[in-house]
Amino acid sequence: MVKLDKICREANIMLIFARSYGLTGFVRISVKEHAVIESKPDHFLDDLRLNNPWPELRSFAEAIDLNVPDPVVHKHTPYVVILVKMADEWAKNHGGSLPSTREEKKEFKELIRARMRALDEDNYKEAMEASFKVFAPCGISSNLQRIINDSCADVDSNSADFWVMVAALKEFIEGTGEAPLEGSIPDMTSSTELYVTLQKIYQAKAEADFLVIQRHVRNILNRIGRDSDCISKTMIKSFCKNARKLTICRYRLLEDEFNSPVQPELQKYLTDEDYSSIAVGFYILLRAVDRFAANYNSFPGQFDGEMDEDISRLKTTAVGLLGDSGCNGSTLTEDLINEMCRYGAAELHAVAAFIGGIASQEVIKLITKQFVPMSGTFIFNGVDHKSQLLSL
Amino acid sequence: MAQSRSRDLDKLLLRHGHLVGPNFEPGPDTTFENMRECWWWERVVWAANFSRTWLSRVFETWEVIDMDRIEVSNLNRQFLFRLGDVGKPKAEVAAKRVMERVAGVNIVPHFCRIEDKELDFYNDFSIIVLGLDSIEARSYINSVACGFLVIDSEDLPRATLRAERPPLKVLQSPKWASMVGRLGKVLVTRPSLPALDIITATIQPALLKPLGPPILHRVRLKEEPKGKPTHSLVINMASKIFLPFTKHMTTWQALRPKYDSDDNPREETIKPMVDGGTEGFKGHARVIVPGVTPCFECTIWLFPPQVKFPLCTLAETPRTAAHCIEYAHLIKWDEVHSGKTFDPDNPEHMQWVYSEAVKRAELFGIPGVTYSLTQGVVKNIIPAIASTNAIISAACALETLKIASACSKTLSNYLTYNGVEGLHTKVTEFVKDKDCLVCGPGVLMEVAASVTLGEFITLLEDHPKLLLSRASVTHRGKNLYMQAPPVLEEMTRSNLDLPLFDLMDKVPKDVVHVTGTTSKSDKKTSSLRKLRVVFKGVDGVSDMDTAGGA
Repeated sequence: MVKLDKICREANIMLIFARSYGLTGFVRISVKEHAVIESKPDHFLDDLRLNNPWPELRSFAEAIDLNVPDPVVHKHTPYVVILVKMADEWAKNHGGSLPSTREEKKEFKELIRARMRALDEDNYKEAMEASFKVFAPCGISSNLQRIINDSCADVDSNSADFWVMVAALKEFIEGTGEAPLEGSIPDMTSSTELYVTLQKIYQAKAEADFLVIQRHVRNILNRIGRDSDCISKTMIKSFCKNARKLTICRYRLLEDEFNSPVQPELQKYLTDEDYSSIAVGFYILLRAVDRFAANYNSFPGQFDGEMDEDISRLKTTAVGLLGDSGCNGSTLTEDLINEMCRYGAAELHAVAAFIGGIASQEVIKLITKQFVPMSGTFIFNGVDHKSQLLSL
Repeated sequence: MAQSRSRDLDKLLLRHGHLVGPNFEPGPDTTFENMRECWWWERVVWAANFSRTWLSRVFETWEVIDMDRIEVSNLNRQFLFRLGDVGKPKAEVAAKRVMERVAGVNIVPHFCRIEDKELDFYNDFSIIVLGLDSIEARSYINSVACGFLVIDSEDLPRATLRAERPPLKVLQSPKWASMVGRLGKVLVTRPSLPALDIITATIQPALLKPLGPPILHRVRLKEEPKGKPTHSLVINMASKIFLPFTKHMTTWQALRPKYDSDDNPREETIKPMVDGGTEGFKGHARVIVPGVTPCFECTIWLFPPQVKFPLCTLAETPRTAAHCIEYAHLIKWDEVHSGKTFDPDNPEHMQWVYSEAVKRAELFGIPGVTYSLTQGVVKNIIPAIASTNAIISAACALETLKIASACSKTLSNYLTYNGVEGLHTKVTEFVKDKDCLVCGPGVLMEVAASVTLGEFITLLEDHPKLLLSRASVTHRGKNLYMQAPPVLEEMTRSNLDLPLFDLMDKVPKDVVHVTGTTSKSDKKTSSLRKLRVVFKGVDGVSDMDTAGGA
């Protein structure tokens, strides 16, 4: 496994290990670096910039009067407008800052509630529920900060397209303090006209941000000596839209993991009562059975007659492995060792199908470069299904 | 041939283990004769195919129910079907393909809805596995399986399968006794009843020493082909009581472990179910043991509310493409085609909805209406990924094997899987709802002994927990009153005027099953409920154990 890993790493080929052994098994990806633009997370905050509206949004909100007498119009004002106006008002009264303490946030919400004229005004209810978006800190997430600070962002002629775009993004963020606007807005109670106008405003700003980034990209490509049109417009657009959700996945070489696992993590897993101790137990044992097979030319428990000897031999092998990993003194439970011998390198269809399903799903993610692949080693626990991802 | 085919599975079924389920007896007899398994599926899944290969060693007959026909869009992940099979019933083709692939397995297909089968049909099965795609269908089958559950008056669970068809393998040798310390259990053969006493006398001292007195945990019988009975004695080290074995049935009853007097289900009436479902990169698998783990209804609160657009939005202020589509689908269709039901599988109907949606979107300046979005919104299409299906169905197949053979601990009791960002699996142990309408002891109905069946049925309509209209009532398999079909209705109509007490063989309390329609938020669904009927003012509490006999 280690040898194959080295070869693939040098040839820059994505490698996935998958194994099923009795009621256990594991899946492990080994790739030097995998950049995901379209990570499509399940729940991600929308990019409304309520805490930092740009001029066009601000002037649109200012042109709308919240105190309009007509009740129908009153209850069809989109909550974005309500919140932008109220945030502005608050900032004027509080020296330019937005609500930050718990009491202030509560007060802000009450101010919104005070403007409600009737109980069925869904737009004001939505405004109260969404008020936390006003309190959110400006700027970029720590995740994104890490990516733009990464050493690969200092691009040269060998850099991948992704990193060229990250470099452009870095310049953009240094200039404006925010990532490019995503451009889409969620559905909200509003009159059709106002909603469509609002949509157009957000889309226009996103387009403007995209053009700036595109310019940066072209400049950088020129600087590093590449053709300034080699990164397509669609790619840059997709990059801008997903700028806040970029993810980088890096995997350790198997050799490194085996020789020097992350000690604190390993200790934590070994001592955890509930999930992890069984998972890490299987992890160690899965490697131990390979060592066993190398030493004794068969897997433990493969033949019925030698169960007792196999159990004690496997125990010694496992303890040796633990020692090599730097965990002298830790032991694995007898139950697990017996269970491993019981399996006798059997491969059950259902377990194989499960492991295969997981591996194929990861392959889909790696090939399509959408969704975030798993990190670490996935240990399947078929005994009580308390499977676990171990990052070692 | 059979040996090599199940070589890998044998390692689990023939060997002892420490992390095994309760009552696990390794041995070649861990095949349960006449055990039948029923699979429901609306989606054919990977592991299901492979699992048949080795589950066929454990189960004799399989039955498959599905009401759908094969469509072209199924072919990307339902690998048992080919292009030439499009249009044929899924159940039949799947059964045929698997039987071709795996020798010796017998699968009976049923091309119908699950509600079309009588309750007796489901009662024959040992395990039920579900791959359904709607809450209503799951709810229905859950109530069927839980409907078989009988709660003891002594509140004891009893294991039907094992009591009535007990495979036993008993070995006689002192060597086994010495293994007790390690295994915690010993299997003892004895050729005849008197010899058992000798054996236990021999074993007992050995066992007594380190670990204390053993218990006769369960005794099962098996008739050998030559008519020579063998008995087996399983001694469980964990318990403290030891009773000599004399005659099989009575002794078995005497040996039954006693529990506290809470309402506990009779194990013999327990029909385990394994349920799985997927959506995109997410999925779940769960094990439902009626009466022990929470049933489907116990955890129905887990479902989030369905996304519905308020009508005023659709009618007056649409903002998104989906609003325009739903307007055309829900409002405009009825206006223009009043009386005609919208059929999402009819391309002409779909095309009409699409063009109307486009018109509306243009009116309001809303972009984004496409034919594929129209289909997605109207049919509520949820993407299906073959790998997620494989994972969840593999989990279900594994659980089924473990339940049937107890070769390992089972999932307890709900597994959620999310593969969107990395990979997350979580096992949650949900707790049964004591007052569950479906798997609980049954809704208590205290009625006077003079109440007629007709009056009883009226009570069900107004009962706050039931609100059941057009109820049909059965008692211990006997139809007391059936609303349909007309022939049965006519036959049972005369019962409506008779006292319920008489119709129920004059027992002071018993369980009846009722089926009818409940309406939840304007939607009528058929439901099956279990009721505990107690007649007020009737003397004598007879043991439900001995009344009638299940």
